[in-house]
Amino acid sequence: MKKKLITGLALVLLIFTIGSMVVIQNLNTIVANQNLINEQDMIITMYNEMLFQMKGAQAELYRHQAGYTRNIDDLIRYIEEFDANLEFLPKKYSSHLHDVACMQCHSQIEERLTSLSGILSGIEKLEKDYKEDVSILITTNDAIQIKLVEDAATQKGITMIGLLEKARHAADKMRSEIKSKRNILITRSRTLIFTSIFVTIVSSLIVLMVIIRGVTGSVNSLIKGIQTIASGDFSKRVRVDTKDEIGFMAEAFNNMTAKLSAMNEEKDKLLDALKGFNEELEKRVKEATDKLRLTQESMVRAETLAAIGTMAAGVSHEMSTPLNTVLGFTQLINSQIDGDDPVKKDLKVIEQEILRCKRIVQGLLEFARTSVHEEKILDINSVINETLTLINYQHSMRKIVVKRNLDKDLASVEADPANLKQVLLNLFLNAVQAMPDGGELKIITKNTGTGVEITIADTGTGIPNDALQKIFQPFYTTKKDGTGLGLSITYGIVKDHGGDIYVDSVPGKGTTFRIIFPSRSMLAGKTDSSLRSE
Amino acid sequence: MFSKFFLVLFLLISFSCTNNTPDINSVEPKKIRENTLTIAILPEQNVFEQRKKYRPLAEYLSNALDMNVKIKLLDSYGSIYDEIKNKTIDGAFFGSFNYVLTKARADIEPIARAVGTDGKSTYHGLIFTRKDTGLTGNAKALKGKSIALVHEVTTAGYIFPAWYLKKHGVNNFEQYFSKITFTGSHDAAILAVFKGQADIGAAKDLIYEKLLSDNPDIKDKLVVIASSIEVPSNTLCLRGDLDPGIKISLKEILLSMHTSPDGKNTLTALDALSFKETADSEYAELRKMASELDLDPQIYPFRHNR
Repeated sequence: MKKKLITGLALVLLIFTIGSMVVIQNLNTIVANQNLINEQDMIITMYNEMLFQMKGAQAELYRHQAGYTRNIDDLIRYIEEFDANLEFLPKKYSSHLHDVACMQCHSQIEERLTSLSGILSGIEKLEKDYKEDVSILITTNDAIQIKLVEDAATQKGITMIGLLEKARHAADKMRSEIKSKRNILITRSRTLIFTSIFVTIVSSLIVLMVIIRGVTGSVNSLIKGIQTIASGDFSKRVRVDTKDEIGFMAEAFNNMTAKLSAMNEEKDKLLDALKGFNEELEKRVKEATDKLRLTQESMVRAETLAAIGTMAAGVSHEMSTPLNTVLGFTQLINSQIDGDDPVKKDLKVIEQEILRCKRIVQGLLEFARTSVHEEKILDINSVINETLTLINYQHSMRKIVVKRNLDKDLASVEADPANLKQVLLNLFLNAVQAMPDGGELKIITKNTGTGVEITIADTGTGIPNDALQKIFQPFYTTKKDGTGLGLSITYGIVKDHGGDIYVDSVPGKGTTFRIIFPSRSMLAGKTDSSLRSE
Repeated sequence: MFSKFFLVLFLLISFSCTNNTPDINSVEPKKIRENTLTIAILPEQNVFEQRKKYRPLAEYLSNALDMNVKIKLLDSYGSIYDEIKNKTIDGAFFGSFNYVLTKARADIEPIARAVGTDGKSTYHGLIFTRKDTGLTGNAKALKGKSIALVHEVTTAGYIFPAWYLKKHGVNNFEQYFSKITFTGSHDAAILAVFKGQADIGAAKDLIYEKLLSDNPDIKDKLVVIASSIEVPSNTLCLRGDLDPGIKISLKEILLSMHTSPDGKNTLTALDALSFKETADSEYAELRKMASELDLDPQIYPFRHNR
């Protein structure tokens, strides 16, 4: 900026100086011309004086010769003054040449002086002879000589007067020409002064505008850059093409911006990493929370089941004896009455209801019975086929299409075969019951990497959402003659084997159960199992 | 870099604006003096040359005496006595014969005269002619010729040729020639012969030699046919009644003039080396010459009406 200001100032000063120098040069020429005019005035005055002196000398000469005076002082003085002027004239003319710096003017004046020098040298020669004549006239007494010299001197005087008038006319003409030249120069100088002032003002304004534009442009660019950075966009750079202070500032600013941009990118990366970490953490917390909640629910359910089991064991133990007694007496009474006795039909209903109670008690005993597994290495596909064989002869299976997609390379599991059959049988029967009008029962097995997954899907009535959460609870049933213990027993067996059971149902479209048993290798390392419903 | 640029700019502007003011104090004021000493000079040569020649002397003496010294050019040799008598002049550079005549009738005191560049303070009277006349010093051959003289009161321009012819047996000097022209000055007499207005002429050698050295064409044409004895060159004489102090001072100034640079310059204008004291006795030979011509200085007229 400093350089720009100095350069601008120097430029304006340079223009002003050049203009001033030209004006000064013109003024010098005008002064020189004025000097020439003054000298011409002086020369013309000298010519006038010389004319006066020569005429005076002629008159004195006449007076002297006519005997009016013997005093020759005035005559001598006239001629001496004339002589002095004549001697001084060439010097005066030559000073013209010193006053003129212009070569053209110099040569013009020199040419004029050359033409004048002829007249002047003529006057000089005449004046020399004139002085001799006058000297003789003053001193001689010879009348004839006086007459001769007097005529000659008078004639010379007249000739000199003529030449002087001619020279004076030439000087007057030269003075007029120089005057007109001077006046032209004055007019030109006046124009030049105004032009110089105008050019200086205009150039000053241009320089000022350029400087202001340069400064404000650079500063605005810088401010814009700062605002962009302040808005968080570190990609922008300030573009200042100057090499001044603002240019350096812009460069420093750009360097700073580049560093900020790098730091910002680093920060973004860290934030992204932190965000991912947070999301992962949240996911894990959610998973842990869900797991904890399920575990808690499972524990609550287990405790509930355990309590129910304990109670059921007590109730079934206490109920089985009276039920056996009632059954025995009922069968005894029934055998003791006739076959057409109307009571016999009622007793038959009693016997059936007692048998039903016994099944319930039996079921409770099974539910409460402490698991004693006789685990074997099993091929689940085989167990599935065997279980399906058990139900194939049922009447309701006629309307149902069974599709099996069993993995031939299914891993073997370690489980109690009777329990596994009971689980499968419960689920198959539930599916069959859900498809009273027929449907499709699909059974799929596959390896999951950590275990074996069995999918049993039907196209039955499905389970409502509100019931879906309760189906594994004991005594919860949607069937009229159900005990509400089948799925609870199924759930308990799967859990006892370290597996998981999931249910997914859409009312009106069907229900899908997925049971996952750990493979043998996984089972060895697994100490806990979780139950989960979907 | 920029500071240098501004320095050059400043100098350019400074030089451009320099105004050459003339020194108004360079002219010394002219000194005004009360007393005036007027010294006359004779028109022995062109009056303008005479004034030019004596002007530096007047200035020198004015400064040295601290009084106005004025040079008055006389129009005739004959007027010098009247000027002394009327006390319109205080002194004059007297021609030798003029001195003899004036001294015989007025109280004048010789002071000093110039010593020429050839070391001489005297001059000879010359009789000369044009070469084409074939005339010689033979007085008989001069009879009936025209002669250009200077003035009746000049040694070289009248007394010597008269004496010369008398010595050669010619007693009627003025009737011996067909025409006598009194030119009034020595150079006019020389020019008259040169221009053919006279056959012979008489003038002092100092003017003759000076004129001939300045004009080679004259030198080629003229020849000297007779030369006089030496007589003192023009001597500055003062009126006897002047303040003795002035006379003593003037003599001292003149005699010591050659010792100062300004004095030397003044002497150069006079074609002189120095001034030497002049004694009245130095005119004895001239007085004798006048006596031989039977001229009585006390009655010899300064002006001759012809």
